[in-house]
Amino acid sequence: MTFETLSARFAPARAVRRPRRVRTSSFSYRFWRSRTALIGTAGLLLVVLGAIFAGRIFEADPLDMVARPFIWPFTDAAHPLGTDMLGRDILTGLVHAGRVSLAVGFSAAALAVMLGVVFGAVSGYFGGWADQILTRVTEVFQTMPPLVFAVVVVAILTPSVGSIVLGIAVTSWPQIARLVRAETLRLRDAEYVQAARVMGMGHTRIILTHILPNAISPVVVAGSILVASAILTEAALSFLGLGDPNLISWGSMIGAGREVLRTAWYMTALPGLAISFTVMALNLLGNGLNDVLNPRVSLS
Amino acid sequence: MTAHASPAVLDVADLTVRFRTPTGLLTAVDQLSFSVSAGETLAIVGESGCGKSVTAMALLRLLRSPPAEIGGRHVLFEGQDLLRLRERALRNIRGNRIAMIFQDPLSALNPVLTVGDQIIETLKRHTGLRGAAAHRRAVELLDLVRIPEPARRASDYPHRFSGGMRQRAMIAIALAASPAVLIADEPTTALDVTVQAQILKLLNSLQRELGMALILISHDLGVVAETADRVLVMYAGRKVEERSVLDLFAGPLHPYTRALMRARPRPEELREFLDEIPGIVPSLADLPPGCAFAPRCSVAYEACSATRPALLPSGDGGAVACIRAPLAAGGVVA
Repeated sequence: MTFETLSARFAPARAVRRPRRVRTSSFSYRFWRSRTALIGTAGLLLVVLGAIFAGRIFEADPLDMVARPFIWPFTDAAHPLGTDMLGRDILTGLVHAGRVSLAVGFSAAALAVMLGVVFGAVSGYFGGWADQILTRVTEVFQTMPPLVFAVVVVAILTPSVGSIVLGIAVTSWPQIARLVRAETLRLRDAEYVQAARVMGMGHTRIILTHILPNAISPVVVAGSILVASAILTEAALSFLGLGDPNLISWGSMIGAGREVLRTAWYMTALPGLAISFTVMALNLLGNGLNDVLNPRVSLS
Repeated sequence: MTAHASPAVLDVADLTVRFRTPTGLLTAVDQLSFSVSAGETLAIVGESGCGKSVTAMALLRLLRSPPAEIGGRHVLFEGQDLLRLRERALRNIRGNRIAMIFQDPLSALNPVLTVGDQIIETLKRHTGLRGAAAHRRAVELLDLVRIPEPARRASDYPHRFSGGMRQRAMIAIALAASPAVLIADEPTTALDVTVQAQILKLLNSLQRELGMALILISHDLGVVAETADRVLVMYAGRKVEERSVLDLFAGPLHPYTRALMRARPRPEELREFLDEIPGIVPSLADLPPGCAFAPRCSVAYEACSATRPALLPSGDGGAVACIRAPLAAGGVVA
């Protein structure tokens, strides 16, 4: 219960008719007060904008050889972050690679959340044998190390953006499913769900309008962190040479820089920094959202 | 005392609800029969755990099964037996022809939907209304339950409503499809006394306006006296007495009803302690073989714990299940 709910409950009836005051419980109010969420959003926005406008800012193909190889960062104004061993511009590469990393991260997380929400809600709401089966299936998925599992999926389906997204989603939906199932179990016997049944609502309707909207906060938080871990998994896959060979991603840049790590470490460090920055921003956003959506946490 | 002769809208015969538990089968409602006609208010009273709410939930088959097993001769409503109706057909009756309001209006409203949307949801489900027409009807319903500025209030979330207003909103949702029967499960228990009176007045006048049958579940005899036409007293899942409200308050026949009446505060005689009924409601797992109330009864004798007393007519149109009750029809039996 938020403070407002409680105050509305205990205040005399006429208190409700006071002029509208600032709603301290509203999402936007709390969001703007949360420094973590704001910093996370700002960082993510920077990366997303870079990815969206990558083609405008850096028109050159990131895989083109545009200068002599091994220009160190901050030594040539034309190539501020230097070039790699084939003479490809690193800044262009970083920005274009962000597109792939973000696209993979967001679509894998979206797919995982969709699968998790459907399975979790069905399993938690109906219980019984449906729950038994679905819980066993999630457990089977959780017994396998996610990265190895993703490697297997991508290797079988041949590396491409699609197979990488699928591989990551398939390994990460069980955690969302468990979360949604637990929330659904909690809400299934809530009085307003009972009331909806009394009003003659069908199961699908109850799940969509009464259970999921009330269960969504932890899913949003878990989802934003899932994007971060999907980006990391994509980087790991690309590093292992299981990335899409026609596209440049942060992971494949690190993979390429590995061979010259001792002489030109910047080639590995720069995409590494990009990954760290993005993942950090997403984690901050996730933690911030957790504070914002959880009314029991007071924001300083 | 209206409409006693008019045909029943809802006729319940031998409704029995059992719960399958690890320790065995518990009978929460035991062969309960009653009926209610249009425009009539039937109150079901009894202590906590006597099966009042289970009865209400069982009428619409809202109990999760397993563990609950609902049986009985019939629950007849508009020519259909609700006990044997398919789930899908039953859903068209729930909220449409038979609606229900709950004890705690705070938890019975979805916190993430506006009050208006929650009314519209029911309208969409059971009436043909859509879009602007549904919205207009929702505002009308809020106006009907006397919510000030209904048009503005419709777009508010439940947490902006006071307790009494939430219960009004619940009533508006329940009335959305103009039901023939409204079941009110302790509708005023969570509200303070002044609001309680307003809600009861509202329910009474709405019932008159709309000609609904009202089943009022309560443990508050004050509420019952003000609202009901007929009273059904339950004890340990069984009906022990059913009388018109005037007869019951003039002369309760069952010792349990008498004890309930004594346990209620009376302003005319101030005192430090209220009378209480000794002991507690017996566990459903081991009910005594005879009258379930016998162990707590002040007038019980051996025969009471031997056989279960049958429900016999009390002569004034009511019925009572006590061998010690002075029966109007055949004189005092005991």
